[in-house]
Amino acid sequence: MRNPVYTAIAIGVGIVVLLGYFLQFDLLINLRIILLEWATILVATTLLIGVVNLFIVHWRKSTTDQPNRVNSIALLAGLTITLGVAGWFGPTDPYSLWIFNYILIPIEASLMGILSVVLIYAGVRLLRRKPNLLSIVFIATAVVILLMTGPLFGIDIPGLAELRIWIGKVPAVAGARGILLGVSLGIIAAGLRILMGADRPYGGN
Amino acid sequence: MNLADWIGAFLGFVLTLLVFSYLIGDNPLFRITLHMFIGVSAGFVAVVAIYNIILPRLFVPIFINNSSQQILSLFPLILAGLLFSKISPRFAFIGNLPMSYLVGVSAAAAIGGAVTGTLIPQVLASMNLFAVQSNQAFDASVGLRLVNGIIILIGTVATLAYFQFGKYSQASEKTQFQTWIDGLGQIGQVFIALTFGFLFAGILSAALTALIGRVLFLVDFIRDILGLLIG
Amino acid sequence: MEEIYCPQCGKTNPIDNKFCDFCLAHLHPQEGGSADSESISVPGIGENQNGLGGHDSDSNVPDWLSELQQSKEVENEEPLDSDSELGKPADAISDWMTGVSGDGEATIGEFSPAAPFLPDQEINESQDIPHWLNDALIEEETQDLLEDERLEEVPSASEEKDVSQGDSSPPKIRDETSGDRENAGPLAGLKGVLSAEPGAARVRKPRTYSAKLKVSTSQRAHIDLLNSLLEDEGQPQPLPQRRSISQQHMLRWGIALVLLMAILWPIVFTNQEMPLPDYDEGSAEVNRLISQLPENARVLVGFDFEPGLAAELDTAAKPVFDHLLSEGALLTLISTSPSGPILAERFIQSFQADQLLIYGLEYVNLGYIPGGAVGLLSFIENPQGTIPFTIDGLVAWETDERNGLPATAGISQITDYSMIILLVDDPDTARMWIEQLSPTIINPQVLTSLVLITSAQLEPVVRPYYESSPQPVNGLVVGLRGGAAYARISGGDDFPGKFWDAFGMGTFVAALLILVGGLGYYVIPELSRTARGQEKVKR
Repeated sequence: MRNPVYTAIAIGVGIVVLLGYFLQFDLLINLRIILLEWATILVATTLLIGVVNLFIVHWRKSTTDQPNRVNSIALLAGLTITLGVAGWFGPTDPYSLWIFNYILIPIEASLMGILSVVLIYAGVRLLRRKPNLLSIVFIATAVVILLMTGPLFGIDIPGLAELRIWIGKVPAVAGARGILLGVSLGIIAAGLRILMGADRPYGGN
Repeated sequence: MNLADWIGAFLGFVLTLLVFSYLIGDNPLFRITLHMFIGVSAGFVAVVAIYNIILPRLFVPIFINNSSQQILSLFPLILAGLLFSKISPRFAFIGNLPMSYLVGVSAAAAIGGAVTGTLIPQVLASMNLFAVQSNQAFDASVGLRLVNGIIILIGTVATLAYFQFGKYSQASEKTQFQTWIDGLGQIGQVFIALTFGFLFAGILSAALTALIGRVLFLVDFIRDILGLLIG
Repeated sequence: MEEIYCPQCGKTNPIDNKFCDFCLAHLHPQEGGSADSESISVPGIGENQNGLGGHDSDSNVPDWLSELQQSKEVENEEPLDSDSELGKPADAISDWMTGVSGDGEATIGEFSPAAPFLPDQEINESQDIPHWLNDALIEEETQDLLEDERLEEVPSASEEKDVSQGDSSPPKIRDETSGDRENAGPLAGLKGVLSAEPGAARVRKPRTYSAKLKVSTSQRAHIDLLNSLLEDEGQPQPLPQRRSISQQHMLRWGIALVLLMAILWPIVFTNQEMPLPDYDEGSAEVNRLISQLPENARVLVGFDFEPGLAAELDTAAKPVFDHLLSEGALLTLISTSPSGPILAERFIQSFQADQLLIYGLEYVNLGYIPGGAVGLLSFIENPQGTIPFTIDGLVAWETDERNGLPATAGISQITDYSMIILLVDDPDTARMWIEQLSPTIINPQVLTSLVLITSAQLEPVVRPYYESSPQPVNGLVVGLRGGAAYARISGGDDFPGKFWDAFGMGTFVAALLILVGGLGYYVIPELSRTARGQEKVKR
């Protein structure tokens, strides 16, 4: 159901926050600060709601006879233990840090580690899958940057270090700047659509 | 190392190997580990949110501030309460009010940041590439800088043109301007490929560093165990 | 029971049958066609001994039907005339029941499929029917007949001729559509109603199906083949052996093995073989900025990376923070990621062995700012209001009413910090920090500098900001290489050599694998394809 109240709220608070970037009235600044503070609180609440929802979903999965219920039980176990320990002692307590250091970091870092194998594998297969100029440029750049990112056994290949610096400072900056500008234009367009009420991702449509 | 560290190191060792087992192939143990990781992460998210924001920002102000601030602090409390209706599909519509508020603020922050932080400064930076100081003599370094500036400018414009490339290419009959844009877009593709190649190498370096970190941990743990056993 | 073969279709019929059960052809030789003797058997009725025709006309037939039969008999005697029908409504009945008799065979006396082909004068007897309706009826009838003919075996030309000659049924069409008084059934006596008589419906020969199956030898062979196929389908077949190890698997395992061996080699066997980088512009700039910091400078440090990249960012940031702490900087730790505060605490604890850092005095952990750009903007606009307490619940800021922590003393706005250091691994997070801080920092009157310590993957994204003029990012330490360069510049000798050696070997082998493997993976199939093509040409 189209609800103009939601749209009005989104547009109203959006305009106040946006104007604060360009205009410096005391009233506007103070109003903007209050609106932003409330928003941060609400975002924290959404995080909490997300965790509660995660718990409910996996609780249902774990209590019904499903083939992947073990996964849900593992998730609930991790969630409950962390909530219990970190919630009771505090998030920066040594007990919480123990969980963080010996469970969270090993798993996530190992996941990042296996990503290196996957990326090399993808790089190896790229020329086979798309043998064209762009792939060659891509692979050549990656190889030069990789070689010159590490110490390369102390071997100095003439021109290669300079080439790496030049790529980083000139063509890569050009491409990245173009991409950043494109992304910014996209963000502005998407944001303006929300502030004009054309898009209503909050359920006002 | 105390006992807790030994247990922790052993746990980390096992978990690392379980994740590495994915290299052989997807398996149930890997998936269980992954789910446990999600659970632990979510647990930390919840605890940090409660400790850092929910308790001190949502509830404490109601009890410690003066009356006007107390009334003011009721608003986020009410909005947060409405947000909790999102858990139930039946009452989810009640949460649309605070969601609209959040979306409006986020959109404005994103626009403001993009305009003042990227769009204007980066356009200015592209213009300033050719700002040669009046008292500076034209030598090889200035010439090189100008050449680099031209390359950066062409690359930036060509990359931006590539975003328009798809749109113009669909037209059956191209105007001269569209043909130019198409050509520029193809140059832009080369710059994008080069940038992504750089990015790829960076991600691979970061992933390699993480892998090295885990391998170092495994080796250290085995050395510690061997040292403990051998004495 | 004796059987007779149909001369038309060759199928067997009971010898008593006059017509073929299948094609309705005459089973017995014809003795010259005449209208009286000519009739068409209706197998559906005739065969069915329990059917309408199979009963004794008076025993089981309901009253109204027997009445109908009687009226039909009467009608058979009368010529079809609309006027006479009007005069004798009870007698006006279709003639299709004429043949219904107790001998089990129903015949339709005067109806013929060839009726539409009768001479014009016969059709013109239907004077009451308008031309348009007459034409439509004829056309409709023709279509019905054509359909019937399609269903049946086409009779021989002689039979067709006989039938057409003996038929005198065109007035029947007039009967059905005349709209005259109903003379039978429950609506008897009413005028202008649709006739309830069975005769009002088109008489069609039902399709006939034989209970017997005549199977030729070839058909039998096909049936046997089909049966054998179905039997095979019913049998459980062993699944084809799936190729558990594909070429892709082998390639991936090979890459993993080579990479792990390359990394393990320097970790296990060597130590600090590879030199640290000589110089890095971004790192040198950070070094210069830190060196210029005033004593007890307040530095805001953003920990915005994921735990997975802690190894890279901790190692890269260690030399920078060694330098920073040696300059006596007081740190305020903050994060826009929920795991950031714990990473920050963990990072600071790694220094505690060498240099005791007192919480609140030399550093303070403000914790987590939710909301991404919104939260960050709120913090930049109003740090004290956004995060009033530390993550441990202590009052973070000094105000007129209360005492804060010494590490944050004198800070009321973001520009009171001498430096902002951001440890970041995500392009969007880095962009968000730069975008939200830029309007404040680019101001020439502001002396706060922004320094980034980033993961290697961020270099292309943050480099445009660093290379800009005006410059929102004043210094840049990128990845392990940047950290190693910083360690070399600042003269620190505690950069982990094994890490650096393994990194050197890993990047070299990775580049080699991509280059050699990629070319090999592409070139070898191309060469083999070319060779195969040449062989084909030779053949």
